[in-house]
Amino acid sequence: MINFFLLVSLLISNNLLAQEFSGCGEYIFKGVLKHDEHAHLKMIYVVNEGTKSQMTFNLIERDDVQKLALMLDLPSTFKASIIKNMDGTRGALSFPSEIASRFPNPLSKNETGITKIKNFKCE
Amino acid sequence: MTAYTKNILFTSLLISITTIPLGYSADQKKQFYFLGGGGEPKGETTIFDGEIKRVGSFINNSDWDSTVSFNGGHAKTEDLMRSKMAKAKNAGPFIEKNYNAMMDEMIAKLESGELKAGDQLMVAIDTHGAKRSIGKDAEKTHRVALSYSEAKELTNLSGARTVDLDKLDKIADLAGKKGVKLAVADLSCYSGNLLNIKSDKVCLISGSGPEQYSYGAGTLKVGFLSFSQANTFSSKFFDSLKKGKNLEDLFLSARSSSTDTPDFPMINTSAGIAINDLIYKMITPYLDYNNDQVSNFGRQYGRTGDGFEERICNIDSNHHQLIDLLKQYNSLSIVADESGRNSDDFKALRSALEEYRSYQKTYEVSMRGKFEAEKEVRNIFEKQFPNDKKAWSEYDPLDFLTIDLDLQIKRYQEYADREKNNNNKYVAVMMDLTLSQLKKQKEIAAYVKANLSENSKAKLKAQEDAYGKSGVTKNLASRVSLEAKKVFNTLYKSLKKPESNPCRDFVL
Repeated sequence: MINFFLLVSLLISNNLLAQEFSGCGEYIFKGVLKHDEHAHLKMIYVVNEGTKSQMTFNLIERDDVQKLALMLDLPSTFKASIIKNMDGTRGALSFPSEIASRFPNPLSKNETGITKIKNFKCE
Repeated sequence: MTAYTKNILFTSLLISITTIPLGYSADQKKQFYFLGGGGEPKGETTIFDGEIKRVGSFINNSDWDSTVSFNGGHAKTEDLMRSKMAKAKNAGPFIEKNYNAMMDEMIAKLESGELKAGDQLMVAIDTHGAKRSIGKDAEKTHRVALSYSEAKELTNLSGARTVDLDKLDKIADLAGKKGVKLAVADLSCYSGNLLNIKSDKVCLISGSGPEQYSYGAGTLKVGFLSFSQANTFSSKFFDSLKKGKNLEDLFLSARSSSTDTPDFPMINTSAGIAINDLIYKMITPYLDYNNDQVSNFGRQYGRTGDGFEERICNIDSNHHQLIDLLKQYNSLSIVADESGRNSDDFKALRSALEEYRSYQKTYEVSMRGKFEAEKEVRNIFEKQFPNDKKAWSEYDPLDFLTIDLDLQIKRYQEYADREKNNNNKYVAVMMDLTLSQLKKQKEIAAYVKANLSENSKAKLKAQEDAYGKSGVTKNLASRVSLEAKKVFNTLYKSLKKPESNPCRDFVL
């Protein structure tokens, strides 16, 4: 019977999502790239748009805007780094990679957020 | 001999429980708090209306001192509350201020001794619930939706104002210390997280597991009449709230009779926790499904082809181990049950799991085809556009077949012109560079569309079709859930201790 418990514990896998900023690091972003006249490079990335948990990320490098350009106004997902602490719900992202449009389910388009996958110290 | 064997075989599964003998007195207090109904879209009604009638029936036909903070902003729902819950004290709409006031009121009653040993306190929560966060600031339990705000999606409740249920931890602790009988029933989605409150002195019941949705009663309309169908766990649970019933029996009865919903209601008795440990995590992947509101069926496969075959191997391996495990439980169960009925339950669950796995395998064929097509696209990139890596290397290859690049180019051209007119050279240069890249991407996309093999195109179409038809997984997952409920019952009967527990001891 003990083997059963061992077996159970071996088979357990958890895929919970953290949908919030929890320190600098690499995150999976799920949101939408938007044009914004007031932004430094005129582009921002928005997650949880139009909700109480909306977060807005500035793009700092011109190269990053170029990388994400294909996804303008489309639900998208990618990996990127947050290297500085966020100011409330506003922050900046860098080094986007593995860029893709999101799974085409009507409701999952709303499934946005950020999920931390690697920790590092803020600059 | 049978009883002896049963005892030996299942002893290792049992977790010892502590029961507190409590005396009854004539002035025993019975207090009931009913909260929820939040996160619903604007309109006159909510999906919780059927439950209001059910809980109202309990309130009106019992001697429980009841307080209700429910909904807010839906005219017919509020009318229903006024008519069906007239006997209860109305603590106002389910907003954060009222929620905190009620929680603080319960804490004050426990701390002051207004509620004393042997008194009963029951809290029922019926609203939309969110998946638990992780990280240092994660809730112990989970967050639930408040009124006057709409949850735009049902996993994280984006759009809704929410509150965590962690104050219940303090209430449970106080009730345990003071000998007050406390029962909490959280019927929201992801409510299995309620059982993160570890206490063997209170009764905790959830409408589903920590990773599953919970389901409200649907409404069947016949002409001008509408009926709330009592086939979900929460509707069965609320329907069963009757004087003289204990919560353990009530939970088991509601759980075993609820149908058509891929959920996993939980109870924190020693038997309930032991079964959760034994089968919940292993059953969880079979409760995933796709329909017009949910799309978690494919989450085990990952987004790209990297590691796909390895993932399939793991799914297969886990599946075989689960089937073997159930066969072993089955053998133990046959020893304990001479009627042989238990054996049928285990067989039926195995059959449901095999059916689900069989469907997964056909879906995996289409996923494999998609990943092969993706590989061909990537090969085209590498062969035909080796010097333009920047334009394709960071992207999902299949996006080049679907994204409207003409539209994107048109937009960036407008932005570039605007920045030039505004003499913002720094951004204008960036927009020009971006335009150049988009034009290159358009060229790449056109080449891929023209040169992708018919075989790969057919594979992509097949995967699209398979996804379109994957709504069938809701029925497959529901069947797994239904059969798992029967096995849960079988195991529960075997593991149930003769001594009382806080749920059995909680008599309405």
